[in-house]
Amino acid sequence: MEVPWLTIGATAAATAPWLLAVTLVYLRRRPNKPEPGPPTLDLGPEPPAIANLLVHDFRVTHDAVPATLIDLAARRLVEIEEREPGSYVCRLEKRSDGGLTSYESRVMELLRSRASGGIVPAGALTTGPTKESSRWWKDFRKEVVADAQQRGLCLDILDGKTFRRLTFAALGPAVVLGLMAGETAGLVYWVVAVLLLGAIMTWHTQRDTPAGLAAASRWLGVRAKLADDEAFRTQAPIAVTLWERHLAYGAAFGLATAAVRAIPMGAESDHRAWSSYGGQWRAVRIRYPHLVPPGWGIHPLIVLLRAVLALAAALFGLWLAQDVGSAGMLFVATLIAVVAVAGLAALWALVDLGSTRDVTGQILRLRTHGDDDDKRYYVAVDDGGGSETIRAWRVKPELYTPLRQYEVVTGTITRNLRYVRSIHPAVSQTESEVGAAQVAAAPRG
Amino acid sequence: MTWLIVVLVVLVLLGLAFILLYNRLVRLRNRSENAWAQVEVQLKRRHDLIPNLVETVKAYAAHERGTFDSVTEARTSAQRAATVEQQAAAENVLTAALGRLFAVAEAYPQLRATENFQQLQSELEETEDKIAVARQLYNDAVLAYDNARETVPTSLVAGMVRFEPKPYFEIDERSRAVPQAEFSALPAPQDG
Repeated sequence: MEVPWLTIGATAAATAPWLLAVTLVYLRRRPNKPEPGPPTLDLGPEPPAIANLLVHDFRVTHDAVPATLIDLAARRLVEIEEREPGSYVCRLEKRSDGGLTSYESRVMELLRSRASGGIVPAGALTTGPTKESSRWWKDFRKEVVADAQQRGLCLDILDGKTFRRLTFAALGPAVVLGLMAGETAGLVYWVVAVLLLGAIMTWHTQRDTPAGLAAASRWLGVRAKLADDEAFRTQAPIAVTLWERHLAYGAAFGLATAAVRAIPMGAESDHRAWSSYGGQWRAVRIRYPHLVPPGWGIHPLIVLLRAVLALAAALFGLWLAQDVGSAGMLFVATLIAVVAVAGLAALWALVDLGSTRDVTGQILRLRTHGDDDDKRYYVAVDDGGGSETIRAWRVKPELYTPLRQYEVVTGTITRNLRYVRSIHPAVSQTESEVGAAQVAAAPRG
Repeated sequence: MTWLIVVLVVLVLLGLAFILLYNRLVRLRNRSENAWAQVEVQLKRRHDLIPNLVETVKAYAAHERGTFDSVTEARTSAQRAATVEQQAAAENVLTAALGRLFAVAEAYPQLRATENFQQLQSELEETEDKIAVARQLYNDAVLAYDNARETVPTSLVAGMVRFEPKPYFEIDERSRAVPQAEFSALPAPQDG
């Protein structure tokens, strides 16, 4: 195959000026490194989330979220209590939260959405399932950046005009390639160039302003002073009573590691959850049964049919294996196991054919498992029975779709296989359950 | 030769394990000592507030000499306490004496209305909150240290090198010197 040197050369030649322009724009606009100011404990006017952005090259890091919560505690809007060594709860204080920034309000809203009776264990302070959590985090970050921009501390690294110009400039080499190697090649080149431009520019989304650089320098001085105290790293979140807002800033700077670890505020776990349904907060484990127990969440009639077929096949196999010697013992043992399991499943299915019960509880997790060809839909419901492990019900997609996490629902399920015949929002919930369901509803962006 | 190498390797590994465990114990001991320092800072703050408080009340109830003397004596004992146990006992006595002082103040509405008294009371209440948290942090640190000192394998190192047990700071949490209802009134509850 002949190498199209001419095409490659011409495209490279056309690309070089564009790449140079992109590089120049990046180098000129990337944030400058601020010089740390003199070590001090005097805090500036910016909240911890903004301080976090300023000391991390004008990028918001995840520590900004727990730092904001600790700051709210320092400002007496939230109280952090220790229930037992290493276990903390947040209590919403009955104070006006007027004057909060949008991202502080977002954290307060999260707290309210998770609280039951005004209390939420630190472990339950998650920002939702991975996808939802990611959306929550992006919105939080956007709000912090917007506030920093409003304070004149940073600017978008790439304004719309420059982005349009660079995108337009990429058309040059794309047209050259298109003329020499076909339209498709030219179009692909242009798309790749724009994506590359986006990737380079999202590495740093913000650049400094003189005011931002001065503030960053001051905050680096605070960080240096706080970093001097080795004990700061081991402070628990309740130490906010002693350190006050300094602990929040320490968390924002990545120094108060123990405090941040105690209230991570990240995506929720699929397998561990906190539930307050039934009145008391407690940690529960969640399982999503698939093959064990057999027939879980499947219509009893189908389970019965499958079990009878399996039983028949296994019994036939055993009949054939009557004359097998000791060499076939493993095969026989397997068939006996099949008979036992199928027999049990058949028995469960038979009982389930004539019995259902209504279970009311709170949805702790809504999850799907498996690939597109075999997607399984699970609803983990805590009925307030106090069980430490909850086996999620497997439901049909049409039942799954309208459900919302943390909603209180009533499911009509069979006794053994937990086949869900129907599931809908609970009608006869007590007032407290309604309240809990309302406040516990997951934030939706 | 082989056995010598094996013995040397085992000795090196044991030495490394000893160093790691020893350092862990030292870190935990330092953490509890640092936590105690935080308690002391808050206790000192409380002790510093008392003379002003006594003087303020004295201006309105000069004849309650016995109460003032008991507060002053209790403060002096608390300041002189040398060990955690002595400190705890002295603080309990001081808390009781301060409780009596506030009981005296209750009888003088004019005193309670003065800005100075209100401010002192508020500061004392805040300090008591801080003492409670500092005490909790100290006791947690001592618990972590004691657990390490008493459980294998760190207990083996703690036995070889003297890692003394540390006392918990036990004070009577039920009795607070400052009556809380006075200044804990909060703004009207918000929705949610």
